[in-house]
Amino acid sequence: MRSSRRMGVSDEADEGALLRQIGDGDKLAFQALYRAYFPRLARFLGRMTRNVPLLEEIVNDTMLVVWQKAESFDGSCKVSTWIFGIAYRQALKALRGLDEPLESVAEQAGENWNEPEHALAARQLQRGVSRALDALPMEQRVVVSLTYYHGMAYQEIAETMGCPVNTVKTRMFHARQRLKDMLSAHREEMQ
Amino acid sequence: MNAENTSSAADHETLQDALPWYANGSLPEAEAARLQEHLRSCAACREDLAWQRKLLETEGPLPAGLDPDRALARLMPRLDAAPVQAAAPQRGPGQWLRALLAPGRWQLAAMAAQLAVIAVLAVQLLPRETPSSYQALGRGQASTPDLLVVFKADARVQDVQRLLQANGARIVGGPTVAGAYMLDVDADRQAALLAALRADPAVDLAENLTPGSQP
Repeated sequence: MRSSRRMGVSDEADEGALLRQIGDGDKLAFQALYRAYFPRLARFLGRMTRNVPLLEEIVNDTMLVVWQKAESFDGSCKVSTWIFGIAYRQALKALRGLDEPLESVAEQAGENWNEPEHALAARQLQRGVSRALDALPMEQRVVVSLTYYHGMAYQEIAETMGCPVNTVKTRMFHARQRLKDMLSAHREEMQ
Repeated sequence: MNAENTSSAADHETLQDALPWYANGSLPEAEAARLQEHLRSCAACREDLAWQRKLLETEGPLPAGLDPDRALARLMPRLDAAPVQAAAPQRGPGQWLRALLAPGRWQLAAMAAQLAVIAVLAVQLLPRETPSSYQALGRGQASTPDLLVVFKADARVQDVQRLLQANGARIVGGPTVAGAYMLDVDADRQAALLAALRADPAVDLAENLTPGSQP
């Protein structure tokens, strides 16, 4: 169940402590936070661009803002919500005007024709889901990603994206309709 | 009346909209309890939930070739050029000044030493400039300073003088209580001055005050 992946109170406290150290200019604390967030941010941003150098650059831009503004973090939201909000804005800034098509994940994953049938089916489903997600409008894709793959509450998503909670729910509603349509070929695997 | 068994269509829709967050375990307790109750009697929502859980377990792979170490190695040198900011986010120049004016941010002894250095400096520099362009803090908006600088406590007058003259900078404001000075410089020399100030051992802090210069 997803709840087990949600961040516990102690993690949140640890991150708050790291952020305070970073506010004092502690580079080791910064590196620790960077390493903890790189995979999460990469997964999140990977739904907005598949361009690896650009993706790493957006992570770096995000963490640079974290470095500069750590002291101003006031604890009014979770550390993760704050950082994801910065990442979302940095990504929009970096992608504005770029209009790069999302390369399908299917072409990037290695093929293995000898794998067992059930593994092959799982991989095909994974590709189908990835392709369907990539076909969603950006805002819907971000809501889906933050909900399903980052375990965020709708309130946190609203804070991250800087929009009302109802907008989050509306985006999710439309995303689900579209995903159901696009994944109708995988109906059996989705049962 | 038994509310659970008489869920209206509107209730059904509201609860169905919340299913993704029930599936990811983030729904507030009361809302989750209501949804759980609804699920007992609603086959459509149960089926939807199963579909969403499957989706939730089926995340696509990350793009190939990501390297956190390489990315971090590129970022670390940028930290020194981007000092940690104090106080509130989205600061404009005014807020920077207020932050510097806040009591307790700087050691009093250092501040006193700075004031002594700068008082001499100001006397030396100002006669060459138009006296009326000197602007004390809080005097209103005669001109907008371009940069803010705090010199080290042990900064020598001649070093500060050389630094400002070499970059065509003028002191137009300060010292603030915290020992910060406002500098004016031609727009095309602003970046060079900021870089020179930050690189100079006599300087404790140098910041751009022009609008839009904050990240």
